[in-house]
Amino acid sequence: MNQVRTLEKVATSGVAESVSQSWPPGIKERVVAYLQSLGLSRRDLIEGLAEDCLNRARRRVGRGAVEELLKRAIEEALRRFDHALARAMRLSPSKDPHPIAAARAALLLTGGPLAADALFENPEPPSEAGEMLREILPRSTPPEAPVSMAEQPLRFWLFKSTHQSS
Amino acid sequence: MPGYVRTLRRTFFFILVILTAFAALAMITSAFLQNGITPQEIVLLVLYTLLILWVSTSFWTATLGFWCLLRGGDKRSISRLPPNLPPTSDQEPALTALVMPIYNEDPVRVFAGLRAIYQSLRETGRADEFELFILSDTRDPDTWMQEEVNWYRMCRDFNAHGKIFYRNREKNIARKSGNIEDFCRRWGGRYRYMIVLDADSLMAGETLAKMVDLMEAHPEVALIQSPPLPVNHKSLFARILQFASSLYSDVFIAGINFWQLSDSNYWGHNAIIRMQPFVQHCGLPKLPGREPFGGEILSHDFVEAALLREAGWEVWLATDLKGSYEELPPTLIDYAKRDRRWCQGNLQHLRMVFARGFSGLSRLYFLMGIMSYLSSPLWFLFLVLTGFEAYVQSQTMPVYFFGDNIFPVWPESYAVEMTTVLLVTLAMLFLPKLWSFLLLLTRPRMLKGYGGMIRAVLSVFLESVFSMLTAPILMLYQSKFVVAILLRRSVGWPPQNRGDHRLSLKEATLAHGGQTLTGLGAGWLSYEYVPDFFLWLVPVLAGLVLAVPISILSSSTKVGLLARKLGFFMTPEENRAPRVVELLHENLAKAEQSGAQTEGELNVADPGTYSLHLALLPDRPIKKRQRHQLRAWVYQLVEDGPETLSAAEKRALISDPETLTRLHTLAWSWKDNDTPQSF
Repeated sequence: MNQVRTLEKVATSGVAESVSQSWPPGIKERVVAYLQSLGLSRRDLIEGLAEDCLNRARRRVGRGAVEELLKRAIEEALRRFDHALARAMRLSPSKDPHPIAAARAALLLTGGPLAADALFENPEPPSEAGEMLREILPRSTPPEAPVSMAEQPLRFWLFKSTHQSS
Repeated sequence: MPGYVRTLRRTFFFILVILTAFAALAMITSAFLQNGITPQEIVLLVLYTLLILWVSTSFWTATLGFWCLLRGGDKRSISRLPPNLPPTSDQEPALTALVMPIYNEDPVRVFAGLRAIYQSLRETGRADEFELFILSDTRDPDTWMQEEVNWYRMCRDFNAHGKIFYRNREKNIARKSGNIEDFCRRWGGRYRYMIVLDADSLMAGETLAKMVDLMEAHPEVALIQSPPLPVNHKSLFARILQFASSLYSDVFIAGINFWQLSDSNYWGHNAIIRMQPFVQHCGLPKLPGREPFGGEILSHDFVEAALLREAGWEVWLATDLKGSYEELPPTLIDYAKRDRRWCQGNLQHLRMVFARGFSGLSRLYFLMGIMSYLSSPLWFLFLVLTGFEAYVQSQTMPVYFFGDNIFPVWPESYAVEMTTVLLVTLAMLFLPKLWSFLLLLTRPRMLKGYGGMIRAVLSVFLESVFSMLTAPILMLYQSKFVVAILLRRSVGWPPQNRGDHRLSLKEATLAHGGQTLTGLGAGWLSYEYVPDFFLWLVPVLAGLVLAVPISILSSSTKVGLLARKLGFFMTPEENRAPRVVELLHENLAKAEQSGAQTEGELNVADPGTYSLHLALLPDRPIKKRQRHQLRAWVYQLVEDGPETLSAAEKRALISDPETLTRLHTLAWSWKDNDTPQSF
C-alpha cells in the first residue's frame, strides 16, 4: 500500500517525496539509466522514481550488498512501471507475465500512442490511449485452424519400409 | 491436359536422348572393338553410357526449350491454358499464406527481403488476400530475439498487426519439412494456398497474385513452381553464376516444361501449393535406418511432388512467370558447402527409386537428382580410367607381322572415332549456351540488358572459361561428398552462409590445397608416363592447380563490382532492377543506417526486446530439476562469464520466463560495467 501511495504521489506531482540519500557510486545513475530505457524522459520524475526504488530496495537489502541493492532497485523500477502500465491498460491483476510484457513491448518498441511519462503523470490516462495500445499488442500467431496431416506410408523394394505412425 | 500430348512429347524426347546416346556409344564401341575389347574398356563403356545419357538428357532439354522459345513460347504452359473452371461467386475469396521457414539466418537480410515482398504486394492492392508467416527454427538465442524485434517492427511499420505472424519452434523436428508440416497442422485450415519462400527468396507482388489466380483457374493443380532467378550479387563468383543462370536458364526451363508438362517437380521454394492435397498426401515419414540414407527426408520437395502426382494432382513449372528471385552462395566454398547438403538429400532418394507405387517418371526424377551429384565421381573415374587406358596403349608394342604373313599389319588407330566422340560430348555440353545466346540475339531489348552485343559475347566467353576451370574443382568436391555419404558420414544441418565475404589465403588453401596437389600429381604422372594424354588433361588440370587463386579472386566483391562497372556479366535485373529488388536494396540501406545490433550478443538488457521475447514465450511447465539446472547456468554466467555457456544453454535460459526476467535485471545490475551487460 505504501508503494501505491508513493506512486500516486509521484503520479500526481511528478516529484517523489522521498528524502534524497547518498548512494554508492554509480548505483543511482544505473537506476536512472534503466528508467530512461523504459521511455521515461522527465528528469524530475526519473530522479524521484529512482530515489523511491532505491529506498524501497534498501529496506530489503543489508548495507554493503551493493549489487543486490541495485538488482532490487531495478526490479522495483520495472514493477512500478508495470503497475502504471496495467492501470493505463485496465489490465486485471494476474500472475501471468505475458499480457503486461506484451503491453510493455508495444509501448517501448513502437514509441506508442502513450508516452511513458504519461503513465506516471496521470493516474487515469485517457482510455483511447489504452485502446490504441491494445490494438498494437504483439499478436505472433492467428487462432489455430488445425488439420490432420497423416504420415504417408512408403514401401520399398530392397529397403526396409516405413510404417504409418499416425 | 490431354494425355496424348504428354505421351507424344515424352516419347519424342526420350527417343532423341536415347538415339544420341546410342550413336555416341556405337562410335566408341566400334573403336574399342577394333583391337579387341579389354576389361577396362568395358568399364569405360559402362561409365560412358551413364554419362552420355545424362549429358544427352540435358542437351535435348535445352534444345527443345530453345525450339519452343524460338516459336514464341509453349502454348501448353500453365499460364496459357484456358481456365478449367469459371470462377464461382459462392466460393469465399482465397486466403494465401506466404510462409518463410528460417534457420539461424541473418535477420537483417531476411526482414529486408520480407519487407520488400510485402511492400510489393501492397502495391498490387491485393495484400489483404495474403498473410505472412515467418516460421523460425532458429536455435541461436541472439538471432531469435533479433528476429522477434524485426518482426514486430515490420508489423508496426506496415500497420499489419494480425497480418504478419512469427513463431519459433521449440523443437526443430524434421528440419525444414517438419517446420512447414507443423505450420500446416496448426494453421492449415485457415488457408487455401501457401506460397513457400526460402530465407533469400524475393517475389514480386504481381507474381504472387498471378500464382494465386492460376491456382484459382486450375483446380486440378496442386502445385505451381516459379523459376527463381538469382539477383542481388556482388562477388565475382556469384555474379558469374547469376549471369549464367539469367542467360541460360530460359531454354532449360522451357525444355523441362516441354516434356514434363503437368507432371513437373517442386524445387522447395518460390512455389504455390494447394493446402488441401498437400496436407492430405504430403505427410512425410521418417525413413528406417540411420542417416545419411535413413532418418528424416532431407530433400523433401521431390518426394512431396511425387506424392502429389501419384495422388492424381497436377504439378506445373510456370515457365513464363517472372518476378521470382533467389540468392546464390557468394563464394566457391559456400557453393560447395551447399552442395554437400543437397548431395546428401539427393542420394537419400536412392531409396525412393525403389518405392512401390511410384510412376516411372517419379523414379526418373529421383534418378536425375541422384545423377546430378553421382555424375561427378563417374566423370572422375572415367578420366582416371581413360588415363590408365592411354598408358596401357602407350606401353603396348605394336606387332606388325602375324604368323606367315609377309606383309606387315599396321595397328589400327581409333583417334578419329575417339576425337569425334569427345567433340560430340563437348558440343552437347556447350551448345545450350549457344542456343541461349542465339535466342538473345532475337531479342534486342534483352541484349541491352546484358550489356550489349560485345559485352554479352565477352561475358559468355569468360563465363565459359570460368565454368571450365571450376568444373574440375566441383567434380572433386562432389566426388568427395558422394564417397563421404556412402561411408555414412552425415552432414548435419549447418546454416547457409549467404553474406559476401572475401576468402583469406588460409581458408582457400585449407579448402583447395588437396585439389591443387591432386592436379599437380595428376599432371606430373600424365606428363611423365603418357605425354600425349597430358595435353588433353590440361583444361582439367588448370582448374585444379589454380583452385586457390580462382577461389580467392572469385570471392572478391571488389572484383565483382569492377566487372559490373566494366559491363561484364550484366543481367537485365542488374541493369534495371525490378521494383521488388529496388525495395530490397532500400530496406538493406535503411537497416545499415539504423545500425544492426552487435552480432553474438544476447540483448536481454533492452527492455523492449526483453518484453517482446517474454510476451511471445509459450507457457510451458518446467520441472524442478530443470529449474535447478537453469539456476546453475545463471550462476555460471555470472561467475565464469557468458562465453562459457553454449548457444543451446543460453537458449534454454531465455526460453524460461522467470530466468529471462532474472537475466534482464542481472544485465542492469552487473557490477563491472558502466553500461548494461550483454550476454
